Amino acid sequence: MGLDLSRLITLSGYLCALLGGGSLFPYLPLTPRLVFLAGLAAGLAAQRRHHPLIPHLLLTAGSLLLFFWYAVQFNRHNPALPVASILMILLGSRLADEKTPRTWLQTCAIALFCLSASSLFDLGPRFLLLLALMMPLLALMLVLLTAKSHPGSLDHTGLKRLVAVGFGIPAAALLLTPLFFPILPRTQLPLWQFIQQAGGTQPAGLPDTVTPGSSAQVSTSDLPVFRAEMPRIDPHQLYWRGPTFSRLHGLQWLKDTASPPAATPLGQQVRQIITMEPGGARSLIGLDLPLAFTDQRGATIPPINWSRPLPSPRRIRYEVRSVSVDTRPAPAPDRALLTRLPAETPLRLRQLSARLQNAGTNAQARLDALERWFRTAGFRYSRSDLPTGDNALDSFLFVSHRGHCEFFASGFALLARGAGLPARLVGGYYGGEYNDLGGYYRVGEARAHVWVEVWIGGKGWIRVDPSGFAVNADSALGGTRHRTLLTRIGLLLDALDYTWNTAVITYDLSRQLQLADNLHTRFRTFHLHDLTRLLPAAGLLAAAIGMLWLYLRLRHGNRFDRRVRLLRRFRRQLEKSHAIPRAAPLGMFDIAQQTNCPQIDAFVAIYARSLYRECDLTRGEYRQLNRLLRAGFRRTVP
Amino acid sequence: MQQETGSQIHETLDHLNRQVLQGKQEALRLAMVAMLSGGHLLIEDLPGLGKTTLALALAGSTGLGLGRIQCTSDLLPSDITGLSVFRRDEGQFVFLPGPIFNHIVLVDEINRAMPRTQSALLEAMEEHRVTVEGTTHPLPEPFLVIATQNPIEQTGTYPLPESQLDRFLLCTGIGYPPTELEKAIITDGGIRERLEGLPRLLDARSLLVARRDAAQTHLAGNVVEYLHRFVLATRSHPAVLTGLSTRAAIGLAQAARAAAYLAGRDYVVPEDVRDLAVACSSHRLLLRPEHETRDRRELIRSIIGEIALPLT
Repeated sequence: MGLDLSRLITLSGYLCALLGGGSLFPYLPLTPRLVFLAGLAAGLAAQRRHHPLIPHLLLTAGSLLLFFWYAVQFNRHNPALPVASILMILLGSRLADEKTPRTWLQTCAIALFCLSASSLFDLGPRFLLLLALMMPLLALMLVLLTAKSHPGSLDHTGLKRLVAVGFGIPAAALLLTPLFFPILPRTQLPLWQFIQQAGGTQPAGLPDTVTPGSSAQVSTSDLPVFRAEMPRIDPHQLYWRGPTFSRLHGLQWLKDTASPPAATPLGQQVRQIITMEPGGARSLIGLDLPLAFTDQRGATIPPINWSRPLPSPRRIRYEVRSVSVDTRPAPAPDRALLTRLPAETPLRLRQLSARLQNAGTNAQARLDALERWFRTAGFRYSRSDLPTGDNALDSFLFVSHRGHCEFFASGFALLARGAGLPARLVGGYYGGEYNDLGGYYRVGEARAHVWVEVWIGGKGWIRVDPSGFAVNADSALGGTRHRTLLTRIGLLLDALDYTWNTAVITYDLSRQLQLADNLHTRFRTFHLHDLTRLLPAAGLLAAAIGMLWLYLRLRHGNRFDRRVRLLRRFRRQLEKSHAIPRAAPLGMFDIAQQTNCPQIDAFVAIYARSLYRECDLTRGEYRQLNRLLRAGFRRTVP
Repeated sequence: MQQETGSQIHETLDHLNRQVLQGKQEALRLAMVAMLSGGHLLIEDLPGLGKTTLALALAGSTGLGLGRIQCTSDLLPSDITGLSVFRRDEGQFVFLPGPIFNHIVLVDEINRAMPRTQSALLEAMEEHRVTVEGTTHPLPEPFLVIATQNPIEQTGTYPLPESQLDRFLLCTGIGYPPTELEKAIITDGGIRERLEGLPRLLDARSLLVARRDAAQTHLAGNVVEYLHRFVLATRSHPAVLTGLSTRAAIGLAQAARAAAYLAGRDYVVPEDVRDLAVACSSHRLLLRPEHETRDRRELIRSIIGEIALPLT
């Protein structure tokens, strides 16, 4: 026999459990994780000692207890986590239990459930890979368990075939999936994501207010907020514009509800397709200056909605048309509103702005003086050890000179207002890593940024980024990172994730309709001369198929040779004339003896001689065999 | 020449089947296969089913000399091989050959002989020669031993060890004749007398020629593959302790060649192998103790039935 079934079962069983448990592991709290690990360790230890470590009853009671503990935690707002935790605990208890075929079956089933549950947290390409590994393992496990109860029913070749089939079917399914994927019926919304918010970490999004000094640190997490598919541009132009902040409440800047666009400036236009992660930026983001937003179906989103909060926490995708300019022509804004300083404005700031106002009568000259002051004061850009409290801004401007973009921008804007220049803040993101593979910029949460727009008569709104005046601006504001192998791999994985999300996860009914629409227009505008363009492609395809056929023929030459064809026809004839099943395990001479028919005898004599004498059929013999087959065999009445 | 010898053998077998040995076709065919492939035949069956008749008929119709040894527990090796006797008138020892110096030797109840005698016999079978008192005497060719043993009686027997069973190329039973045939045999009485007058259709020389021709029968690669898969299957079967040896595989191939020759073909087909598998291997298998009671013939049939015949 030589096949150690028990070891195979143990191996595939633990592999199954690891796949299932491992897929869920990162999303769970500590207790289920520990239970899983403990169960795994107890199971392995029991395997070595050939005796279960924990009595069966105790295990059942313990897992029931934990089951109820998590069951009461279940509610509508948090459905996924308790269920996943229960699954994980059950898996751990099954692993620790005595290994009967029954426990193995339960282990495998629960492992599969765990894998399915992991898709509630993250439905990435990793899930597909794990599923593709899990399926053949489960099939193998079922057959192994069956074979164990019927000794002698599985040998090495059988096992090899089983493994090949087990892995072949998912592989074939994967190959076929691209064919079926676009046409399978879809729902209006991606079905699975209604529950997805339950777990996983999401970016916090842009805040509704800008309040320098609210905390001593800012987050530096690098979760992706959005990805923008577009050509590479000058990195200093990468200002991703979000909402503007014009009104002040104390020293707190409040988000504008609407920012109507003014005249369209001339300049080079850039199109971007932006995919925003769930949670994302909470409002539409586009490269400064966005001119128009269109949704996936090509409908224009009216400007009134640009700074509205985004409707749902799911992944959204839209197209932006922007023009890359520093200055944006606009009519004069409400000057009184935009130059008013709040009562809480620090005294030193007021004094400084008064001095700046005297720098010149010209608005541009005053702006230049302000910029000069910022450049020479020796500010440092920093994300930690920041001034806090009511005097935070004052201490930033005149004492510590340390702060992040909110300090720079609100300080600059207040000084500009004090100097009589209308100014406002613009929230958004700055920079981004370009992924050459996917052709997109990836913008992480740490790139959230605030800058200033100053209105100058005759020119319009001018973008000023005061953070750029810091002495360490180049290194702090996302200078070019050194590309190591690790970051390259990171970029590759990110591109994969992006492709998966755009091609699979966000593929819904509207995209399907779009596809159908495209096909429809293609067909309507199809001309005969288009066909001639297709000819080379068709030729290439035909050549590829031909090569494949040739390869198969060379590889399994005997399958295609005429002897095989003859045999197939012979068995078909026999099935018809003598009702001998095609697959009956009979030799040629068995058949001749059973049928007792002279034509069959003649066929067998020629065919078997060629086969077992190992000489090729001559042309004459081949013709004679064909003749016999064509004439057919008749059953002689005994 | 080949055609001629082949047809002579066919005629002989046909004649024997029809006239003398009704109901023993299979045993007779196996005896001829053993003869043509230079092996020996062991018949395991109850007494009174015509084992001796088979040997007598084969000897009679081929014109080959027949020696007969009835084994008892006091049979000595020299009773088989012969011995040297001092001739006083000639003043020297003269070798008197024993019954083994014949073309066909019928050894009845081989398991009643004591092991020493058995091993002397089996050595002679293997070597085709006998060494007595330092002188080697070659045995006549063709040389065929047909041994019989009673599978039921166990008292006072010395069962052949597996290594010695391996010396027999084929092992078969005869079985009871079909009802009608048995009635006819009862009516006619024994047929021993008729054996005296059998026409001689073959002789030693033509049999040797036939044996040489049979050895040249073509054995195709796919048939060898089939045979080898069968041998491997016997080795990996859960009920079997030790499967077929390489010697057994060689024997099966030789027997298949002879069978193909008897069927008038110059090539072996997988059916030849399959049909001889039981006779050639059932006595060589060593089963696991818990499967000791299984029918070996059935086991072999099921093992080879699992292997697909090569058809392309």
